[in-house]
Formats: sequence, structure tokens, C-alpha cells
Amino acid sequence: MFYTLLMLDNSASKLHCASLLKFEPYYPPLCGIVQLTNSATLSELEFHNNLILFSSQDKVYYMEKLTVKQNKVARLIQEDISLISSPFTEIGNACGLTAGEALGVTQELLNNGFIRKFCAILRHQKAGYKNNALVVWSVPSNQLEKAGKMLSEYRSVSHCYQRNPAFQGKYNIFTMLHSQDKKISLLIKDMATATGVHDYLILESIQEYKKKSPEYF
Amino acid sequence: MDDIDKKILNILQKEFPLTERPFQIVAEKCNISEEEALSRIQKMKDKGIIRRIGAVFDGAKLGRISTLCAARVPQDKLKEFVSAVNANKGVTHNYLRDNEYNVWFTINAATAQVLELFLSDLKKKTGVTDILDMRAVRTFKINATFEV
Repeated sequence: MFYTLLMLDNSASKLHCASLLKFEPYYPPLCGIVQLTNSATLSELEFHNNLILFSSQDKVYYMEKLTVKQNKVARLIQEDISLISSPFTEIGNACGLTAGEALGVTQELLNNGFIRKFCAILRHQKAGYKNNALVVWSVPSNQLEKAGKMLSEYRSVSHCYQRNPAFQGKYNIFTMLHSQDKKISLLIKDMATATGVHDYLILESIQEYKKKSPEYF
Repeated sequence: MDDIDKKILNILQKEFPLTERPFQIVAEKCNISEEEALSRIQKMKDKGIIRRIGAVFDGAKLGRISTLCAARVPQDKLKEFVSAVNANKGVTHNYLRDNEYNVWFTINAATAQVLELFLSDLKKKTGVTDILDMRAVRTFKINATFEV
């Protein structure tokens, strides 16, 4: 028995299989993580409107796609909304919807997790967060969960991932740190002491070549 | 930035009101007029403090494949390499970092094949062959909120 992560390639009806470390469905509607035997195969693959269903043994997983209406609104709200009294009236007008409908679609996308949050996105250096660094940690595999969670509890950590392959064969946990005043090196020392992980690299940025929001639609 | 600007920034980051008149609600919370709220926000955009106001989509939930790449780029190839990377619309971050792997960028693509094809073309085109492709296998935290 082993665990397999199944993800649907959205350009073709092809399934990618990759072995995964642990059973934990981060995005349950997107991809199921399923336990398979070596001999198991995916038996069915069906397309139903905006739902893509696939089943394995007795379990069925599905992936949602956006509706045409959701797509129209998504295209506009992935950008910068206008600084006017009623921005959603403008967004609605561009999509053939009322302001209320445009807001409804936005709320719907938030509720089902397609939108992580709706907010102002800052240039953090200009907002006073002058000290920033990518710090990578070499964490033994049996301590990944504990260390990942502990590092994530720091308010100064904006992003924390386990990555594979690890950098230089051992730095497997990646954290982005942002700090207003505290010396970032002191903060990192504190993190090392708390987690007991003393093998780390601080990768400071020398120059920013590009920083932009993704365009998905 | 004064205290009102800071309060506005925190509200816009943490509890943007999804209503027909969002800036009216923000203004009420700060005891200022909607007009003043809009003009303060505009000024913070002009100063570059606010990059944009809008939705942050979950790429993975949309089925996008993303990764963090680190490349070892010789000084004489740096300019060409950076422009080849930045030309890809899926590249959202690209930094020069203090390491032998000096160029670090994040990229997302519709499929894993598209992503891998871009990386192999990039290697061929630029002659930079040492590019690491480090996929996130577990997300512990994503929260880019900067309280001021």
C-alpha cells in the first residue's frame, strides 16, 4: 500500500500520479489523495459541466471549474479594482451583471476557496517592512510537521512550505520573513532555538527583478 | 503615513468590505468621509505602498502548477537570463540572491508539461543548465498580511 496524489491535467484528460509523503487533502475539491495498491488503476474519468469526476476503487474525487459568469468576474477582480464609490457596479457593468450579482459571484468564489482573500496587496518594503529574507531550513523528516507548524506561528513568516527536491540536498523547509524593526538575524536565531533546527541558510535578496500578481484568467 | 492611513491599510488588508460601497464602510470605521478615504487610498497607491486592491486567487485550487526555481547564472549571462525568465507571464517573483544559485524565481503554468517545457527551453536558449525546480509538497502557511 502507498499513497498517491492524483491531479488532473486541465489541458488533457490525463492523470498525473506522484507519490506523496502523507495523507492530507489541502484542497479537497481539487485533488484527492488516495490510498492505492500497486495493482490499482483509475477506472473511470468523466466530465460533467464544470465538474470533472474521477474515481478510484470505491472513492470518487472531483475538481471544480469556474462557470462562464465566475470567469468574467474573476478576470476583473484578479486585477486592481477602481478607486471609486461603487467599484462593483463598474465590474458588474463590464460583465453584464448588477453590482449585487458581481458581489455575489465574488463571495461565492471566496466561499468555495478559489479566492484566498479579497484585500489590498502592499509593497511591503514601502509599508515599513524593510527587513526581508528567504530562510531555508534543514529539517529531519520526522520533525517536518512540528518544525513547519512552529515556524508558521511566527507573525513575521508570511510563507512556509516544504519543498521537494530540497535545496542543496537538505534544505527542505522554506520560509519568507518580513520584519519592521527587529533585526532579522535575531529573529532567525530565535526560530532556530525554538525549533532546534540549527542548519539553515539566509538567502537575502540583492535585487528585485520582477514582482507581480499572477494572471490566471 | 499617519494613524488614519495605517488604520485604513489594516482594514483594507484584513477586512475589506465586500459591499456596494466598500470605501464608505472603511471611511465610517475611521470617522472620515468616503471622499477622504478614497483620496488617502489614492495617495498610498501613488506612493507605491498599495500595489493593488483585488482578489488573491488560490492557484493550486484552480489547478495551476507552480514552483520555485533557483538558477546558477554566470555574471555575463545574467541580463539575458533575467529577461528570458521575466518574459514568461507566469513568473510572479524574480530575485537576485546572495548565493551560488543567484537567480530565484517563482513561476506558475497551466500544466506540469507547460512548466517543464519552459524550463527546458530556457536552458537551451540561455545556456544556463543548472536550474533547480523545487515544488511545494506541503503548504504550512500563506499569509502576506502586513499589519502597520
